[in-house]
Amino acid sequence: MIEVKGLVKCYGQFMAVDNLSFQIPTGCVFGFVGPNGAGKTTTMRIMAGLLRQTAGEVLYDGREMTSDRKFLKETVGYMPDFFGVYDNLKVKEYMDFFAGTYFIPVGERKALIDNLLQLVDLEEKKDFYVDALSRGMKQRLCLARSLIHDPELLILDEPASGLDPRARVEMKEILKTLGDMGKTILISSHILPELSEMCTQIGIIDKGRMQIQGSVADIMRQLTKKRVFHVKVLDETDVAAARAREFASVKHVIEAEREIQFDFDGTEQERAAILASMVRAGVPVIDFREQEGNLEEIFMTITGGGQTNA
Amino acid sequence: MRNPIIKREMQTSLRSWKLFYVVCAYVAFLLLVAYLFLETVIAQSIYGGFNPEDAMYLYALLSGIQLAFVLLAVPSLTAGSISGERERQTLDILLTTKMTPFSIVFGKLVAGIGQLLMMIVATLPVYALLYYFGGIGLWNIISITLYLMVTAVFIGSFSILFSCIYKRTMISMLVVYVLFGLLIFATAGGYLIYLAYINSEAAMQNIMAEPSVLVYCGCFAFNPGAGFFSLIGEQIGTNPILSWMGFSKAMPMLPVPTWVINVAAELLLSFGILALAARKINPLKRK
Repeated sequence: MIEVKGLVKCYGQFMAVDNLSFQIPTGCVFGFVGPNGAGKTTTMRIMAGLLRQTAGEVLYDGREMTSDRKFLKETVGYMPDFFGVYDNLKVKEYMDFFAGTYFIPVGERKALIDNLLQLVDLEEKKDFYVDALSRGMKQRLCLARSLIHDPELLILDEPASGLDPRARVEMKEILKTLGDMGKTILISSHILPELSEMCTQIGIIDKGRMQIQGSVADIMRQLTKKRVFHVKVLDETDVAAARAREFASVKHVIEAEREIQFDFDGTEQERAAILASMVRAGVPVIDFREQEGNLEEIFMTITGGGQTNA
Repeated sequence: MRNPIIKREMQTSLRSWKLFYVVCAYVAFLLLVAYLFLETVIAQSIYGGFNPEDAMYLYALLSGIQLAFVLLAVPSLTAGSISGERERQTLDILLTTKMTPFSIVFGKLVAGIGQLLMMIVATLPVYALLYYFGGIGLWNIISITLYLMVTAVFIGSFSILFSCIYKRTMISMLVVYVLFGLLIFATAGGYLIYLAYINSEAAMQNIMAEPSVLVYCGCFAFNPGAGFFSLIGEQIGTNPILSWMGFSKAMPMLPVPTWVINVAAELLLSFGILALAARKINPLKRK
């Protein structure tokens, strides 16, 4: 478990991070969302040991990370929002160089590098020069580089920024794999719908403060003023609508062709009861689902209509 | 190689033809100088031959060119080391690895000096010419090469410090050239004025001027030129600069030669400068 407690970072009079607190459970893919200047990168740089905080602490399983440089470097893999490459260096040499910076024994490097390149789907490019790779490939290489010392926590600052849709999908798949491998991942992005698909939890930060934190569904539930349900039926649309209207928590039932839609402000038990009532009445229900909220909308609501690119 | 930066820098610089061309051009230049020197000496000789003692002067001349080369080349090899990492946006990544800031700057220095050492070693066959005439031993060449390396470390550590301070490589280089220009010429000029002053005072009192050890060391402890001429003077039997000054006593009595003071002072200061450079790039330094 990572706990950020009362983190403060001041630049003179300007407070970039203002008493920020949040938790990331072990193995969680945590999405860090916020408008420009919200303090995301500053927080990530503090967690990666690239900035000293003015106050507060970052605990990893109860151990303060930022004051224990050795522990921090072993625990954290950091990928900045840009990727630096060296001229005249091949992919495998680039990886070997960073393996050297973590003092990984020479004998272990080849297998490790091959595995990591395979993970990011670059094993066929290992003899290519780094500067000849596409942006997406460089980004994946940078991710492989951040994994070279097998860190438990990955801090990825906008890993999908500037990538084309295909490269984004590839990056998303790799991150999912890493999540499945049990890595704790802190990821920031301005592509909010992607975060909702990728992250088990998100935290929305604005003006250096955490505005809300939780699973995407929980946040939706907390912030969406009305929950809208869609019920698709094969027949008996009117019966389905009538059954729904019997519940006090159901408002504004709209009937369409083999589908009804209604607003709902009840509990999960009531939600189950509505479905059960329809089924008991013989309505052939083929779909009963809550309309997905729009993460962008929520983001705008929380951050007071700030910019959506973090 | 324990420091991965040294390996990487060597790998990338040796892969490029640039270093090869520079080495070739430099060796060719030294050969040309040696050839012109021999031609001139032979032409001026009344017997039409070559006096083996002149080989000593050729040695001093070639070594002087080596020193000038070190002074000019080291900033260009090292002044972009940290600012270059910043420009490539790789410094942050390096700082998150297990390498300490000191090992990063040390690796950069050794890599830069390593390239220079390659160039210096490539010129050794030119020195071999001097063996033909005798007078210059292998130890002379080794000791002057080591002295040049110490000078390179001294200049390189400053270059790296400025590379940590300034974002642009050109500015770092410029500052190093100005600093070493002042360190070599301004201190020598200052000492000459001091000598002139104490000699005129002594002449009025009709006594022999005795230069102060403190002033001498203050002026020359960090002056690579002073150490160089002191070492060359020992090797060829006469310090060309001291002879040129024309003062009855140009330097105080010292327990060790100037170049020894120079080597010790420069190495010590280089270590301090590197530590300061490491502190400059340490993101977690306390103010």
